[in-house]
Amino acid sequence: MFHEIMQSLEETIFMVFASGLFTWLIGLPLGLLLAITTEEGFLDNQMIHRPLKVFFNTTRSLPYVALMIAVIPLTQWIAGSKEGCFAAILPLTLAAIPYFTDLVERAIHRVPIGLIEAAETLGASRWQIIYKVLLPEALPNIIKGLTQTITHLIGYSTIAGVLGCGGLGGLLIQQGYHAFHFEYVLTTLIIMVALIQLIQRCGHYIADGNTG
Amino acid sequence: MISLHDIRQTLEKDKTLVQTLKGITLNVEQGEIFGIIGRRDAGINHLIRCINLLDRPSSGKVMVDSVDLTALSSEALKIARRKIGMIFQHYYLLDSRNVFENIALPLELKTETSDSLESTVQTLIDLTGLKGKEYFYPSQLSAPEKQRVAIARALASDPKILLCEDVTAGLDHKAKNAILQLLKVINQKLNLTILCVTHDMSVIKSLCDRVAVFHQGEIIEQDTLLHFLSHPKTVVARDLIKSAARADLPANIKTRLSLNPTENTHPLLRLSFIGSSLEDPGLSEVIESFDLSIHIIQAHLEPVETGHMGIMIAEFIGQTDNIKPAIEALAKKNISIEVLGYVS
Repeated sequence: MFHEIMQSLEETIFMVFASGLFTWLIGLPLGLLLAITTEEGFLDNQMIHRPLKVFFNTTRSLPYVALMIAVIPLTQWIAGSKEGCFAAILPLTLAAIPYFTDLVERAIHRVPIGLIEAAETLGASRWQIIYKVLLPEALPNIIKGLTQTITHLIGYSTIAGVLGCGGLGGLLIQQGYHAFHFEYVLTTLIIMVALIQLIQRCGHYIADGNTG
Repeated sequence: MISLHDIRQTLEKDKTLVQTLKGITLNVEQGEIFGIIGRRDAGINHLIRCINLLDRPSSGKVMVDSVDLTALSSEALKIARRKIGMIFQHYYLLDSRNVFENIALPLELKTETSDSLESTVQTLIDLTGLKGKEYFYPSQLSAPEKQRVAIARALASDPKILLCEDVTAGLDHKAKNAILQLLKVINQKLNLTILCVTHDMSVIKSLCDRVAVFHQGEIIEQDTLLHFLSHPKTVVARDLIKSAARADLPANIKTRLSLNPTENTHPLLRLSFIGSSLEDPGLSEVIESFDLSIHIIQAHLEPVETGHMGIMIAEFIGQTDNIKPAIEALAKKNISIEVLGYVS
C-alpha cells in the first residue's frame, strides 16, 4: 500500500507542478497583457483586450471534465496517448491558464495608478514601468494567485486521475471506489490535505517575504 | 524656468465636460519657491499635473527651461521629465524595494549606466536625514520618513525643478515643519526651483517666495509673499488668510468666536504691520482718539520668507459706532485689518 501511495503521490506532484510551470510561463505574460490593455491601462487596446477576455471567461467557466474530454484529440497528438500522467499536463494547463491570468490581472490592477505616474515622472519607459514597477509590486499577489492556482490544479488532477491519468485520483477510483479499500481513501485524503496546506503555507511565506 | 502660457484643460467627469483650467498663465523664476494655493475643492492638482504632462492640457504651452514640453516626442519627453522631479501627497514608493533601492530607481532607469550610483544615493540619504534607514522597507517607515524617501528619489536624477503636490497634507505640525525645512535646504543647496501646490496657508507662509491663488480654474491673484499677506486683493485670498489666522487662535477664543455680530460682542481683528508701519505709533493714536480699549490675544513678529511682518490679533472694545471709523483710520496708516469674527 505504501509503495502504491508513494507512486501515486509522485504522479500527482509531477502533473501538478509540470502544468503549474507551464501555466506560470504562459499565464503570466497573458495576464499582464490583459491588465495593461484595459481602458484604464497604459496600453489601452480593446482589439487585444476584448477577445482575450471573452476567450478566457468562456474557458474558465467550462467544467473541467468537459474541457479535458474536448481536448483529447490535441492531447493524443501532443502526448501520443490520452492516458497517463504525461497526457494530463495539456488539459490541466489549459484549464489553469484562464484561472491564473485572471488572478494576475487583478494583482496588477491592485498596483496604485499613482505608482505608475511616479515612475513616469522619473522618466521611465513603458517597458521599464512593466518590469521595474508593475511586476515587482504585484509579485506578492501574483505568487498568492499561483498558490491558489496550484491548489486548483490538485483538484483538477484528481479528476484527471479518475479519467485514467493516474496519480492520487487514479488510486482513489481503483482502490477506493472499485475495490472499496477504505484505508486507501482515508490515507489519500490526508495526503491531499497535507499537500494543499504545505503549498499554501509556502506560497504565503514567499509572498510575504517579498515585501520585507 | 517654468512658463505656462494660456493653459486650458477640459475633462470629462460623470459624462459631462468640465473646464478644469481656464487659461492659466504663470512664470516661475529659476531658484525661487513658488506656491499655488487654492481651496480644497479647487482642483489645483490638475494644474501641477500639466507641468510634467502627467495630464495633457487641451491647449496652451508648457515651457520648462525654454523647451516646449507639449511639442516633444514621447521619447524626448521621457528624457525631459528626468529634469522635473515630483513628489506626491501619497509618496508612491515601491513597497517591493527598500529605501536605498527606491532612491536608486531613477538612476537605474537611465540607459547609460553610471558607476557612481551608490555614492549618489548615499549623498541623498545623508541630505534627507535618512541615515540608518537604508535597508528599511516603506511599510516600516513613518509618514514623514516616506516623504523624505520620495524627496530623495525625486532628487536622484539631478532635476532642475521640483514639483510638490500637497506634500504636507496629513502630517502633524512638527513633521510638516521638518519637511518644509528640508525643502528649503534643498532649494538653497541645490539651487532648485520649487513649485508647490497646497491647500495649507502655513505651507505658503513658511516656504514660498511668491504666491498665486487658484480659484475655479483660474489664477486670480499673484504676488510676493509679504505683499500678498498684507494686501490680499481678492475675497478668496482674504478668506484663505483669515481662515489660517483663525486656525491659529487659542482654543478658548476659538470656541467663543462667532462669524456674525450680535449684541454685546466685540470684533476680533487681525492687524498686520509691514514696513514703516512696524515702527509707527499709529495704532495707539487711533485707539485714543476713538476712545477704544483693546484686548490683545496674540502679537508677534511673524517671519515670512521675504522678511518680517508684525501680526496682532486683538479684541476691539468700545462704542460700536466708533469701531468702523477706527478701522478706516488704521487702514490709512498702512496697517491692514481683517475681521476674524466676533467674541462676547
